[in-house]
Amino acid sequence: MCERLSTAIPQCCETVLSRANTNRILYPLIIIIALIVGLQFGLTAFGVSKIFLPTPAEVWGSLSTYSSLFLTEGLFTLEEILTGFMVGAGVGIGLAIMMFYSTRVRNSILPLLIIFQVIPRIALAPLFIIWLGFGFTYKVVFTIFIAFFPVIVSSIGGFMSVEPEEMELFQSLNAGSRITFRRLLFPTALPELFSGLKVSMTLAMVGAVIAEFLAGSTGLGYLIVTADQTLNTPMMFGGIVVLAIMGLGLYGALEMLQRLMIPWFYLERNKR
Amino acid sequence: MDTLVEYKNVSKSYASSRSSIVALENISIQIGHNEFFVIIGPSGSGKSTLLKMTAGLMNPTGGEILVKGRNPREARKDIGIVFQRPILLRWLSILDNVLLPTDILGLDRDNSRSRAHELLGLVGLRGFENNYPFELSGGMQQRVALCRALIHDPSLLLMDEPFGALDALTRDEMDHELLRLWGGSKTVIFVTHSIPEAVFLADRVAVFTTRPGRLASVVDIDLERPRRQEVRYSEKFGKYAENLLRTISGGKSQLNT
Repeated sequence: MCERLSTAIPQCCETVLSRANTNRILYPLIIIIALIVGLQFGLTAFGVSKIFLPTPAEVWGSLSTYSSLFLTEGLFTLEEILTGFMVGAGVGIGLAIMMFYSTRVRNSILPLLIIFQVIPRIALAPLFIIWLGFGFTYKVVFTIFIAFFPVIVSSIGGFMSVEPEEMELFQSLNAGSRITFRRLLFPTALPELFSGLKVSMTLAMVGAVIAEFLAGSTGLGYLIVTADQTLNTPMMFGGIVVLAIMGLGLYGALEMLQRLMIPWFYLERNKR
Repeated sequence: MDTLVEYKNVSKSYASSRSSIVALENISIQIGHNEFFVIIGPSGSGKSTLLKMTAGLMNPTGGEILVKGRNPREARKDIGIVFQRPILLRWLSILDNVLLPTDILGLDRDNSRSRAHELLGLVGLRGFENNYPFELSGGMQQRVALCRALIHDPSLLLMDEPFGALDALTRDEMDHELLRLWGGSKTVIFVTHSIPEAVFLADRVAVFTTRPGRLASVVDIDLERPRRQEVRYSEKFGKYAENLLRTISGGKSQLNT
């Protein structure tokens, strides 16, 4: 009886999981394809100007003609996003740990963070340009500032969700603060931390593209602005498509990392 | 009687904004080696507080607690705790949950592993080693918590209403299983507010009264061991239960409650 139960549960979870997965990929894909086909026929039928709204074929044409341009600029942007995201996440987690362990740090940093959070950070971009120039450093720093806040909030929330009895259990075993962090606080915080990381990742993309809009001469953001100035709408859409694919890839990578690091979270969630 | 745990005039009060609240007042008890000691009392009688202080999780504000003649904090390696809820770590398998104290205390993992398998077998959980906690029922989870408390073979086991959240049938079964595991080979301090549970388990029962928590009396339970479920229906058992109820309600006969 017991053995039957223990093998039956993971099996049923797996089938539910894989079916949910195909549905999650298949249905949106159908909608996207329908949209592309519909746009292609609709735009051609009504003779809409490609400066106003290019057909999917015209966007594809731009993408394939300038593929190496999209690739180089895309890689610039990707580098900014990844650097900004990783440094931002690191800073966020670090601040969260400090704020969790020290009330003094929390009380002194939290008001500043909130003030900083309510300032539209885009308003700070011109200052960053003055201080850091038009280059990579400026864009990454700007990206970090846009992206790090959700990681702080979610990490602290995650650490706080540890229950008092769990702390008592570790205390009763004479666990030092290092072991308690590594074996209790960090694993408990992981699910919430990952949702913060996902929000930060999308914000990092926003940050990098805006930074490129405002200054410098590289990246997809710059490409889109330049195409705009020459009324090259198909190329603007090409930039957007590349950004969308990049975004999906980054989000998917985080999702995969999450599945690797906290498989129990999915199993538990699927049971409920 | 060889003393393992000693409470000397132990008091605990909490400072609140206006006044201080006395949770426990002048508790003096001696608990012997391998004794099964039950503390019973209504909510707010400070019994959980006493248990936490025995585990070194809090300090008394007055008096002294000695475990094996030492401060509880220094005796931690020799204490196992079962809380009201199982509090298993969700991301660890059942086996790794049982082995958690081994890792934290830095004990030999190979020895402990075979002991963990043995303990899980004793509580009827063989075959569940690789499952996650959420796949187990509440009663099964609390059994795992019991194995975790015993993995480092402590001489003192502290249990804070461990079966209070379980249904009555499972609870009786767990009490019986606990006695089997204990076998007179450990000191257990068991907190409950169930009178039948106290009588069934205990060598001695301490009755606490509420606000402030005071020790009303200590009752010897002179029932034969090993105890089987049937003992619950014996005349002697009923007498002890009635007696305890009288003590708890402060001598007033409130048997209809």
